[in-house]
Amino acid sequence: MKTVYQHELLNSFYLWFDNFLLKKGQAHKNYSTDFYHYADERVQNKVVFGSPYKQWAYDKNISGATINPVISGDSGLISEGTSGLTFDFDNGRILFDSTFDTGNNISGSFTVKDFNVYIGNQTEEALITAGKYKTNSRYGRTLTYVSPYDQATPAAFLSLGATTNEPLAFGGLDNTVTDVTAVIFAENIYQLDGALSVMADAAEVVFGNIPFTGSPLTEYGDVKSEYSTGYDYINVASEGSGDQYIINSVNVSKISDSSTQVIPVDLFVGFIDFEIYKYRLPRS
Amino acid sequence: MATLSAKNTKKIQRQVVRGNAFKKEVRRIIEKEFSQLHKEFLATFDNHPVTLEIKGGPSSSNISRTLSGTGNLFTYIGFNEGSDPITPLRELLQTYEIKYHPKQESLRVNIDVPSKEKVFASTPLPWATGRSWTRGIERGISGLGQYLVKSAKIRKSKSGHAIQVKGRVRAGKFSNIQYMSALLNDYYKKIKKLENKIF
Repeated sequence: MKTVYQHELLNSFYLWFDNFLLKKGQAHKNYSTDFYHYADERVQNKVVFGSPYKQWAYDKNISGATINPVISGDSGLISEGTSGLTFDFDNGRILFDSTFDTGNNISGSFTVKDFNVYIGNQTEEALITAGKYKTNSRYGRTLTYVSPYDQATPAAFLSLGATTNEPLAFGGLDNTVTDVTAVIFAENIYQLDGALSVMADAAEVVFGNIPFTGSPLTEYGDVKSEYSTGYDYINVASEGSGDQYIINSVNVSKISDSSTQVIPVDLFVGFIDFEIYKYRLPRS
Repeated sequence: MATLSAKNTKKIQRQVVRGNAFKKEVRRIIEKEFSQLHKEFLATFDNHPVTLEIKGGPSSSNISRTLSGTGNLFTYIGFNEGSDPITPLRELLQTYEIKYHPKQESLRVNIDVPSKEKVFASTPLPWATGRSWTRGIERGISGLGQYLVKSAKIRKSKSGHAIQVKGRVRAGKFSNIQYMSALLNDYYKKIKKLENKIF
């Protein structure tokens, strides 16, 4: 199936949301940690070293973020490309060629998002009641790598809701109204309030359409080579500036106190409901 | 035959509009017509399947078919047993104010009724007060409420990582239907028609 309106909206919204939260909320932290070797059957012919945190920042539009992780081994700094070094920003790890010595003591510095951002395909009740999430925070625990592919909290899960086309002008121009919801899982109330507050201010913000081909990461989680000078959301989004979405309204809410008594103890849950407008010709 | 000049006609119109008998008659007509459409609006609201189902409480059946006939909206949304979400909404919908604005040669009428935003704001979900259940009926609503009802049946799990829910998380999906927006749009349209009458 070809890429259609909802695919592009979700892709564009995901990238906008990530940038907006990181930038406006300065929702990121710099870490320097050891890396831990582990085997990953999904990645053949590579040697994997994982950090304790996943979803590193890679958007150079975020000031103060180490978007080029600094990696060191037994013999000093290892630059990207040396021994096949690539970064897997999504899974918080690095990959080397299969000949790389797994006994190397690897450490590195990188920036971790305060909130991992995922596109959710589950209902809210399934998301919240599943209780299956790893946490990015490692307070009071032995540091080790974070498992790849599993979803980690604090996180925001984005999903599309109802979509309706409302007639707008002669010639078949409609206003396509789409509801997008973000379910926020935070570690504490300060973090939750912060995310909700940042997003509440997004009403009437406009963001550009970014086609699927504009997604910044490769299948290994590294920044695509076409972004030779680094991925910058603002630059990429401005290319779609003639093709924009409007956030008509934002409504934020938290699960009430009485209900939080039955939520997992280490999670604070909130909801951000966006109503997005797009003027388009759906029948053309 | 004598004819009145346009100037004199206007003069008479002005005098008529200022007269108490005219004002009284306009009020009578407007109030009678508004009272009829207000009654019809409230009756449509009262008889809407969603209203009836929620009013029926935790033991009602899914007459709105929003849950494919399984369960009911009262428990799906997560209202506490004994609560009555319909009465405060109906009380809000009952409110109105008719204002009369005398102009030089006519009397304009304005009828204020609750806006959609006000209706949405006054119908919060019981477990997330920033969200409206009436809007949710139309645009999609989370089924989380059914698991968050204050009840001894739901407790923290021993592991502290999950909610112990009564039964399995249902895979069924909520189907949104038209509710307050559609009722109000129709109501506003009729009110506009009444306001546009020239007296």
